[in-house]
Amino acid sequence: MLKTLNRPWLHFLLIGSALFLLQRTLNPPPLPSVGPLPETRLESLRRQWYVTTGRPPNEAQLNAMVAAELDREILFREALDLKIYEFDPIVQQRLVRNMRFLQLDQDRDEETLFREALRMELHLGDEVIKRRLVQVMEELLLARRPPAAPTEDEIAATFADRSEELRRPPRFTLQQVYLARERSDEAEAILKRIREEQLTPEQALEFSSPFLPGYRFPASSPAQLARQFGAAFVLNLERSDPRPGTWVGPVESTYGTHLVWVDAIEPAREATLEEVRQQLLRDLELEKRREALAEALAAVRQQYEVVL
Amino acid sequence: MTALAETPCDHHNPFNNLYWGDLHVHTLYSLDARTQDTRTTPAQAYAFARGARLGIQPWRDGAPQRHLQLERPLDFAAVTDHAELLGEVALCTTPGSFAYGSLYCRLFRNFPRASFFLFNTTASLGGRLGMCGDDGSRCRQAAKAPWQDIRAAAAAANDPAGCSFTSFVGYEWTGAADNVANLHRNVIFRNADVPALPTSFVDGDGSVDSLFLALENECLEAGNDCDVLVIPHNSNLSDGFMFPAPELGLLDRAQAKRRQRFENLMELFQHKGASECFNQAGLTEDELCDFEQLPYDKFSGKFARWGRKPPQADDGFARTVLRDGLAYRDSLGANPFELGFIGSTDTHLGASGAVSEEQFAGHGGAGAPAGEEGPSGLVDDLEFNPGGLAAVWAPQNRRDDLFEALRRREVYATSGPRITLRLFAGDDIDTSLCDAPDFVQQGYRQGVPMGAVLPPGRGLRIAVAAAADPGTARSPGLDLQRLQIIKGWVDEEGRHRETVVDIAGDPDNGAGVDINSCRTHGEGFTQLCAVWEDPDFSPQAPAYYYARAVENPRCRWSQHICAAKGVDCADRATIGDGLEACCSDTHRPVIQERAVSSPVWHYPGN
Repeated sequence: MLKTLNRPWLHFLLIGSALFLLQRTLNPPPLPSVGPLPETRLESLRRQWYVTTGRPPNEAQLNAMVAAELDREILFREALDLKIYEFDPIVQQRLVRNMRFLQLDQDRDEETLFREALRMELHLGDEVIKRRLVQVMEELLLARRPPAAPTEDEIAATFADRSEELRRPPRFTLQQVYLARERSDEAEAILKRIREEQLTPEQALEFSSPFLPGYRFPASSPAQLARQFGAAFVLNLERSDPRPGTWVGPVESTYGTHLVWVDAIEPAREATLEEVRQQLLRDLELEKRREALAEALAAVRQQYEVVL
Repeated sequence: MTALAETPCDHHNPFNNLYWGDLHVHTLYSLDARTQDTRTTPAQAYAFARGARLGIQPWRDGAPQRHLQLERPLDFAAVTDHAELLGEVALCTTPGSFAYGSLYCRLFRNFPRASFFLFNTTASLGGRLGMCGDDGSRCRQAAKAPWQDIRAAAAAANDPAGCSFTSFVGYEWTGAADNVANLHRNVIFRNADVPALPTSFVDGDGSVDSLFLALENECLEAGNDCDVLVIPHNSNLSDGFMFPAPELGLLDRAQAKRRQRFENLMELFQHKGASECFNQAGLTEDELCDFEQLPYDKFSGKFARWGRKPPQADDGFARTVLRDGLAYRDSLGANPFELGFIGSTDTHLGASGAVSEEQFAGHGGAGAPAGEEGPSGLVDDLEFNPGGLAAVWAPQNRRDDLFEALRRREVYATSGPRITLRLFAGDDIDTSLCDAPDFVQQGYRQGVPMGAVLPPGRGLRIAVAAAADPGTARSPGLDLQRLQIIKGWVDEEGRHRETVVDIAGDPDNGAGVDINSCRTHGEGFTQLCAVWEDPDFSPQAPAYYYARAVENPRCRWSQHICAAKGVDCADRATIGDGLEACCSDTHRPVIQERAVSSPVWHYPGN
């Protein structure tokens, strides 16, 4: 045993290993690098920006696009390392279809075509496959680092922040008599008569021109009224100080003139948390998912040297 | 649910309210959407339909660089992702299923083991044992997630208590005939009772019958409340195969009856063109058919010159299909094509109901709007458009009510604008019905509404009323130009005939649009109404009738962009990079948007 320890080959081995470890510690092997993007890809990013926004990108916008593109490249490489393409049905379908499109199928079965496509490295140059693999990698990253569920405190905070946006609109319950455009000069006289004879909205209908959406509009928000009468009607109605139990008018709309009986008005109010909880939860979950993905991606990025 | 069903909505109206929706929406679960970097989830697509702001591509640091928001929310919507990507797992894990032995499935069944391997051996991801569970169940569950997510999103968006919004669970069945002509159909379920997984094209033998049979087994006869409608779309791209003509001899009586059971509607307007009619001398002479036509008759025509041919009237346009339906009824005793009309978007951005011509961001269907490299200054391919909407007459905004209206076809299609359109037909319609303030109540009393089969009668009158889209404060609507009736029938000699009649309005009202500024000028009509009597009505001649309300001219979405970029086709210097399409022969800068009612049918001896 001691003899063995004295063998020179063992000393060489030990000293060599020690030196190797020392060198690894002092000079770590270079990280795999991604980037820079080829000029053609830069050009297509600029063009893509132009097509979707109508303006060329400024420097910051272009840099952000380049960074996003390099992130995709990293995820793509990770996916290739993991050989995800071997097991993804969409990649398989796509490659088999590409082989058939290239008329390389020659009556061979799908498995053979798929293997042949991989051998020809068709999966490396296909944008659809790249996007699919990036998507799968994103899902895998999220599965490893699932976003936390929103807490009650967070829900309460966003509820307070967004109270203005979440306000419930007022609701009007209305009935109406409609006068087509060519009858608008009769409006004042008819309204006078309705008031003097204290006609009910149903009785007053005998003066109305036909109006397709009807004559009675229960608990309708301004947006719902605008759908039936146009935006101008809502503005004109709100300006004419509508009160429950009164006739208002004449109110002009896209279609003509309206004499409006106000049954009830439920004023605008703050939303209750229960009314909007689902909506807030959905938005928070989306936000958390986005953050979790960004963090996970940042961690993967550490494994690469990114050359802009 | 029962208690709810007995409590009517605030807005309940026995004479039906008008509800607007989109029954053709793709989200990130559709591969063709995902590959354009669409990240809209089903929940977001529904939120967008209800008025929320939606971020869309391009994405930067996970943040969207563009946003869309509807000025007017929708009343209902259905997310309809492609089934092929939703159901692989059950297919692959059911021994004896069609696809069980395929390469596709053999690899898929490896997935749990493979992911175990992937997750445990790769340093850069860090090891985490048992990611898929010992038996892989967690990974299998994950693969089922899209369909569950789609169902959950629909359940969360549906508001039967407040009646503010209705969602439907659905999917798109993406079949194709041997010559790659389009056979696509949307499958829309009545309620939350839906099959465990959607039936996809690869589950059956690829025929439409296999879809119907699967839906019979897994839905209608499932022993729960499952009920379903199948809505074909883009028959303009079907090369005639979506609705096979009688002379092809492809349908027997049983098949015709099955179609009748499942298919009550077709999608007339959407992102990839209009399927109403094709202007062709000697067959359909109607210039208004020159509207959102594609320059090819099946989708491969977009990409390959060989085999490409221009469309024909018999390629699957509604008028020909309805006509063939009359012939089938004569020969088989059943009309397989008793089809009402709806519009929808077919958006691949999850942007349900985004139909504005002025603010079109592209729909990413098959064009190059959403980040694909394309040397175009336009946001979508020239031949595509923002799509249309489905208008439904129903007593209240709940699933059962809307579904019943869709089934009885009391619905219509618009190419985008919210034009109101009502139709009543019968031999007893009062000629002065248009003057009655209770037009609607009397209409139901005197006749049948759009979508119905007429009871026997000695003559026929049709009352049609339309109101212009009031628009919004930011984009006011356009006046109507005219109201028309379209009739198709088989005459005494057995010949197919077609006629288009203006019944109200004025085609020469002088209204128009300046294509350099896209400003419209001139007035039209905010409301139109007429009672038309068919002078050639014959009780012996089968016929269909539908109404069309047409707006004044306006700029098409593409011209809005061309004009904003200062393109003047007379001056080459103004045609900027990527804007060549503005001045191409096929560009139609001006369109007339429209609403098209579902037909009513007259059959002899009915």
